[in-house]
Amino acid sequence: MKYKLKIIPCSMFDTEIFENWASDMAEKGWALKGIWSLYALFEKCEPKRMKYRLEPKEDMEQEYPKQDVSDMYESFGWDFVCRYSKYAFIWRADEDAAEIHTDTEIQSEVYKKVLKSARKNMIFSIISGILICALIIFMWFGGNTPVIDMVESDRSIALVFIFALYPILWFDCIWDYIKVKKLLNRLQSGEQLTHDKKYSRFNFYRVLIFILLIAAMICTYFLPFYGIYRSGSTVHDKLHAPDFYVMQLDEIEGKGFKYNAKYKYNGQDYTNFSVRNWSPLTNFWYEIHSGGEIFGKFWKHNEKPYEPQMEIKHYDLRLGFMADALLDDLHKQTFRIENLDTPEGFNRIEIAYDGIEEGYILKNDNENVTWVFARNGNRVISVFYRGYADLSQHFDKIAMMVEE
Amino acid sequence: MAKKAFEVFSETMYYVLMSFISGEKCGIEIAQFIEERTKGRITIGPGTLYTLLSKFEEEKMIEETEVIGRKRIYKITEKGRQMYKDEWNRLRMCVIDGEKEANNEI
Repeated sequence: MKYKLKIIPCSMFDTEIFENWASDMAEKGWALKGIWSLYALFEKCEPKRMKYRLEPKEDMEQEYPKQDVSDMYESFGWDFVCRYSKYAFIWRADEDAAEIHTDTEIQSEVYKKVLKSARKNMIFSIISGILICALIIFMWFGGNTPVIDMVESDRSIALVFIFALYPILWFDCIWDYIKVKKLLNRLQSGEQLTHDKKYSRFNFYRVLIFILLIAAMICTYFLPFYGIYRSGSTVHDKLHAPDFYVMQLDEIEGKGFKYNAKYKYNGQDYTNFSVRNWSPLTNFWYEIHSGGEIFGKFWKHNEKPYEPQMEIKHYDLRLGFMADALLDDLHKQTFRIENLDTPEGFNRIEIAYDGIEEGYILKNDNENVTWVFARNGNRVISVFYRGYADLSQHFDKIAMMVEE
Repeated sequence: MAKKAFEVFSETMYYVLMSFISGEKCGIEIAQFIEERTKGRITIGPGTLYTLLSKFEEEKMIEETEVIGRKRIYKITEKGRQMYKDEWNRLRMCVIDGEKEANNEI
């Protein structure tokens, strides 16, 4: 047996188009076997034009037509083919068989039920779509730092597809409703359905929906794996990232500084490491941690060994316009605040330097903590530093870090 | 809904009821009767017939007498017969009125 799967060139409410298409397929030697979502399954048969008719169901839950219905239809030469979604059954007969419906008034009553279903379908999908979109928006933008969440996540592309898909589906439902309404109006005015409405073999609109669905599925399920494949974690004895320049602790601490591994577990260094991450909205983003000590030097406030440390986050964004918002979000995330205020105890120093579009240093001298936020083009960094060095002396190095 | 449909007695309904006058019939026999009687002017399909028969049955104008294999056989009730006669009379009046008018024309 030879089988063939084809995309149905119309919506399930395009009764007349579908009937014509199925009849044409039979003429080419393909008999309709079943319907699966957007596809129709055909089986090779003797080429012969047959009549195909969609008959709206009485009840959405029905799997097969009622026995007395199919007995009646079969005695007139109509055979049951398959179910078409929740709304209709498909029947087939020879070209010369009498039409299933010979009275438009009675047929219009059948279509009144379809109109009800189409309306229900439309309302349901619009409401559920709005709820889902609202939920997604709430999840993503309800947080304090939506841009960071979006940039660091691997699901942002899937999100775009979902948002693109819903308006199309809404449009689809409304359009279907209008179609049934028009059909019903024609029947009520006594016009017979034609069964031979033209269709285009390549329905751009339906193919678009199909591609978007597949793309959304791939993005949701496969991008996380791709992200894992593209990411990696390495341990180094210095601040290390192969993709860009990284300001080194020994450069700013001066003589006597040595990297050391303060936190070790199972021989693994948890002080000096870099993690390379990938997400759809970035080419890469890094988290680089490092620490060390100057032997014989002590913190002034508690006389413990002086152990400066630095943590850098570096983003290479695909979309440059997100850089500003990302920088603001980094600020908010760092200080767990909802605005861009300078937190208590910190001094703000603006960075005006060639190669840095926007940048500032926030310094807390009591706790020896310095934060640097800077962006240039698609590059965004945040630097955390604990130590006595003055980073405002190192604008050149900050500029090199955000160099594109 | 069903009541509304009977306010207008359609041609198809009239012929379906007529087919029962000569005795019990099943679906396809009704269709054959109508096609023969009207010389092919009116045909009735299974969808229309099924809907009509269910309505007639609901209104107790016909009733099922027996089921032979996959055939369901119906017969007309007294109520159905009366409705058919009323409609027949109405149509006859229509024709008589029309004829009078046609005579006037000549």
